[in-house]
Amino acid sequence: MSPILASAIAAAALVAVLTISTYNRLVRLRNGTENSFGALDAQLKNRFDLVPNVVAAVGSYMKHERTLLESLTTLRAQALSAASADRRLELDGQIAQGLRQLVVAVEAYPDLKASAQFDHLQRTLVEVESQIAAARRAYNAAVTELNNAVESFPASTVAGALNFRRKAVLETPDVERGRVDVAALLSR
Amino acid sequence: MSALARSTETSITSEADLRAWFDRDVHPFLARHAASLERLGKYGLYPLAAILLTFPGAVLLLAFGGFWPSLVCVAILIPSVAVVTVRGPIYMAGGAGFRALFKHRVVASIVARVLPGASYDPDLALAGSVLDASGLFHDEIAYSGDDLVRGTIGRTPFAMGDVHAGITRRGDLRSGFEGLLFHAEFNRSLVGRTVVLPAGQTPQASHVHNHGLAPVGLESPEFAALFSVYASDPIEARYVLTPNTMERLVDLARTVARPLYAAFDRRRVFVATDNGKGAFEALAFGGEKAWDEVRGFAALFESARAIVEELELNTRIWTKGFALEAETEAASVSQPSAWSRVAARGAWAFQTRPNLPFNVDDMPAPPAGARIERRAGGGLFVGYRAARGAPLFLLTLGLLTAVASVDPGWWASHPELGTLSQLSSLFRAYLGQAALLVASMALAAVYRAWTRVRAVEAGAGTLRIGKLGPDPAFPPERILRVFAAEDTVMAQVEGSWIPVMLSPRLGGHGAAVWLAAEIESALSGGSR
Repeated sequence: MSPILASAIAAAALVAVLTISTYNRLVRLRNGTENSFGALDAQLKNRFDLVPNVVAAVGSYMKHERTLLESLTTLRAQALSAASADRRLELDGQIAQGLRQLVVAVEAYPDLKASAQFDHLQRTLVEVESQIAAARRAYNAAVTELNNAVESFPASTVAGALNFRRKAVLETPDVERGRVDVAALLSR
Repeated sequence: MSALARSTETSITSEADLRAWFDRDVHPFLARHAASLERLGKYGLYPLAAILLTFPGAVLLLAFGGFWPSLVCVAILIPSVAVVTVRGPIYMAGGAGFRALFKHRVVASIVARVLPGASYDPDLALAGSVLDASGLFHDEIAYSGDDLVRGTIGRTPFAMGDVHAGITRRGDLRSGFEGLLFHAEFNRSLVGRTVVLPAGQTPQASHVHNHGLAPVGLESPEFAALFSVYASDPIEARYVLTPNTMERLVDLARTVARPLYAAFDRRRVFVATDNGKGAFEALAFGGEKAWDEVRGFAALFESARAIVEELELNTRIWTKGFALEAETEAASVSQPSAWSRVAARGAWAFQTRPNLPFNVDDMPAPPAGARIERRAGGGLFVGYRAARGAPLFLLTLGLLTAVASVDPGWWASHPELGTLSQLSSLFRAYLGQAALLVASMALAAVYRAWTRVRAVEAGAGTLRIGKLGPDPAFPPERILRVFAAEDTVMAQVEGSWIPVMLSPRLGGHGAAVWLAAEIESALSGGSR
C-alpha cells in the first residue's frame, strides 16, 4: 500500500472516530437536558396537584376569593391536558402567580392563617417552589452545556450535519415577573 | 475570686462593648499574672539560654583545642541544667494551668457574652462520629479535639469545637487540618449529599459518604471562584445552594478569611474552617496582644452565629419537621478530650502533648514513705521522705576533696592504699580543672537540695512549705487551686501564673492526686 493511501485511510479513520465521539457526546448532552426537563416536569406536576388541596383547605373560609379559586382549578385542568411542555410551563407560571396571590389574601382571614392545615400547605407550596427553582436552574445548566457543545467548533460541524440544535433556556414568565398588588388584595 | 468570675454576664453586641468588658475585667486579671513574668526570665529563660549557649560552646571549644574555656562552659552548664530541671516542670505546669484558668475564666466569659445560653467545655471535644458524618476528613484520620461550644442560636441547636486532625506517624499526630468544625440541623430535608470545598479541591475519595459525588457547576462566578461543589444530585445541590445561599457563603468566606468547607448531608449541615492552628491556645498576658486574642475568640464564636444566619438555618418555612429535643441531642454528642480524664481528677498536667506520660488512672493513695499527721481543726502535716541523692553526692564530693588534699608523703607511707593514692595523685595533677567541676556540681546539688520541698503544713489559716531555706507561707485565700501535675503537687496562687510546688516528685500520679485533695481539704478546715 502506498504511503499516501495509508495516510488517507488513517485520516479518514481519525475523522470517523472524532465524529462518532462528538456525536455520542451531543447525544449524552441532549439526553441530559431531557432528563433535567423530566425532573422539572415532575415538580410542576407536584404543584398542579397542590391546587385541589389548596382549594379544599381555603374554600370554606375565603368566600370572597371564589373567582381566584375557580381560575386556579381551571388552570390546573388545562395544565394537565396541555399538549406541549412550553404550554405547561406557561400555565404553571399562571398557577404560581395565583397561589402567591392566594397566600397574600389569607392575611385577611386570621382563623385560616392560624390553622395547622394551612400552615402545612403553605410550607408545601414553599417546598415545591424551591424544588421547581432548583430544577429550572439544573435544566438551564444542562441546556447551556448542550448549546456550548452545539455552537463551538469543531462539534458545530457535526451538530449541524446531524440535526442537533440549540435549545432555549427557561426564562421567568412575564406573569411571574409582575408584582403582586398586595394593597388591592387586602382591600377586598 | 477575681472580678472576672463575679462580673455580670450581659450580652455583648459590639466591639466597643467587648473592649469595655476587656478593659474592666480581663486586663486587670491578666496584668496580675503578667507580673510573674519577671520570675520566668530570671529562673527560667536565663538558665535555658545558658544551656543553649554553653553546650554547643563546650563542644566547639574542645574541638578547636580550647580545653579550659570548654571546661568553663561545662561548669556553667551543670548548675543551669539543675535550675531548668527544677523550674522547668513548674513553668510547664504553670503554662498549662494558666491556659486552663484562661479558658475557664476568660474564654467561657466571652462565650457567655457573645453566644448567650451557650456552654463552653474546654475539656470536651466534638464526637468522632460528627467528623465521620461530615465526610470532610479522610476516613482514617486521627483526631484530637477540645474546646466544645454547644447551645442554640435562635431555633437552631448547634455545636462547634476545635479539631486537630491528621495522620499519625510514630505516635505523633501530624496535622492535616487544624481549625473549627460547626454542625447543626439543616432546615430542609435532603436525600443526598452536597459538598462545598475551596476552589480546586476534591472530596475525600476514600470516604464512603463521598462515593458517587459529581462536580456541579453553578451560576455565580464569584462563588465559583471561591468554591468547588460536588453533589450526589445536581438538582438537590441547587435546592441547597440557592443564589441567595451562594452569596451568603461568599460573604461568610470573606468574614472568616480562611479556607471554608461545608457539607449538607441528609439532616445536617457541617461547616469547617481551617485556621492552621488551634483556635483557643493563645497565652497572652496583657496589653494589645491580649486584646487581639480576646477579639479573635469573640470573632470565632461570632462565626457560629454567622453560619446560622448566612445559611438561614432559623428560617423554617419548608416541610421538614423539627424536634427540638432530638436536634439538641444530636448537637450535644461529644467525647472526652485528651484532658478530660485529667480534668476529672482535678489535675492539670504540664505536658502539652495528648499522649500523657503518666498513668492518669493511678488510684489515689498516700505517698510512700511520707510522714502524715492530722492536726486539730482539720489541718494536715506531711513530711516527705528525705532525699538521699544530693546529700550523698555532696558527701562523695567532700570525700574526694579530702582524698585529694592528703599530703603525698602520707600516701607513700601507706602503700596498702594504692588505689586511693593514685586517685589523689590524679586529682592533684588536674587540681584546677577538678576544683572547677566539683564546685559546679556542688552548686547544682546545693540548689536542688535548697529548693526541694521537705514538708508541707496546711490548715484553715495558712499553707506553709518546708524547705532548707526560709519556709514560704500563703494565706488560703490566695490559693486558687491545689492540683496534681504528673507526680508532684502544686498550688496555683492568685496573681501569678507560676504555681508553687507543694511536694517533691512522689513517684506516681495517684499519690499526687490523693495529696492534692487532702491539702485542699485541710485548707478549707476539712470541710471539702
